[in-house]
Amino acid sequence: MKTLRYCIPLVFLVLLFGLLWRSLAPHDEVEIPSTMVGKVMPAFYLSDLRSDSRIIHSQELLGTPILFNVWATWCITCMAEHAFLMKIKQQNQIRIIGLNYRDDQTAAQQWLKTHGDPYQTVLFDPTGKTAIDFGIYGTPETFIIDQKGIVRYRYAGMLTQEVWQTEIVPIFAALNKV
Amino acid sequence: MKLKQLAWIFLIIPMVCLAVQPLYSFHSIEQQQRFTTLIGELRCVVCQSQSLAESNAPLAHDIKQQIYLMVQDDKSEKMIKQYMVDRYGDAILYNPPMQLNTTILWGLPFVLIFTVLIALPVWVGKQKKMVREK
Repeated sequence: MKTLRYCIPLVFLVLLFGLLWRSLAPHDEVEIPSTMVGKVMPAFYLSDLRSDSRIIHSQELLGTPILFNVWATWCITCMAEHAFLMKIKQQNQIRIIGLNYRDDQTAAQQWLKTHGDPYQTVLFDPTGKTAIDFGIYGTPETFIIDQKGIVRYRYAGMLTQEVWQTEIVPIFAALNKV
Repeated sequence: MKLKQLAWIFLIIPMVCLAVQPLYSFHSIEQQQRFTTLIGELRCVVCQSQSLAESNAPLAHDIKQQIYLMVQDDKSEKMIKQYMVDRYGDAILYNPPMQLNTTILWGLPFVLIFTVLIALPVWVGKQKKMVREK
């Protein structure tokens, strides 16, 4: 009984060391859960990346579910993700809307010309104001927005085939059934 | 010569560095204080161990700009914090709010203190008794 009591501080010590050891190891920043999921997407007026004269209101994008992808030319991961988005575009089943974030308009237009353009529409958000409304904290980030404008899903990071199959396809399947 | 170089390093360069800091001008000292408090209490969501005030990340600049506009618009501290929580969740607050899911965080220290306060006299009493019995 007595030895057992002496063990209690030891257990605490081991726990403390475990905790300290864990924080020593390099770790990714904690992913911040999106507050947007389940809510109506923020309303915005943004210009079309491809032509300045066209102003797009968020309501115009609705009708069928969309894949809403935030990207920039300075974002290396977006470049890596780009090929995958092109593949999705070729399947031609899902509308992809781009939000060009904190970018240079000419550079972004050129980027799409050079590498291919997976987007049905690209919104131009040079100040990042709309990105803040969406709670974006990194690029790329991808949302699924349903036909009524309600955000159903958010993925922070690069889309891959695996994420697509396990996370995104089921959501679109459910949305299209409705 | 050496003195002049030292003067450059310690006097002139810091002045230049100060001069290029982004300037936020306000209508009143109260607004400026509100701004300073807010950027100190909100987290940079990209570089999570820094506040907005400390961070140089592009997103931190955007959010600071947004806060600046809202302060100029005379929005209260509470309103601006709520605006940010609506978008980034409680994670953006350095000072966690007292609510249901933070009960353990706020409550545990008090529970521990009370446990010690209650257990300590009992334990001391026991020890005293043991010594006396010996």
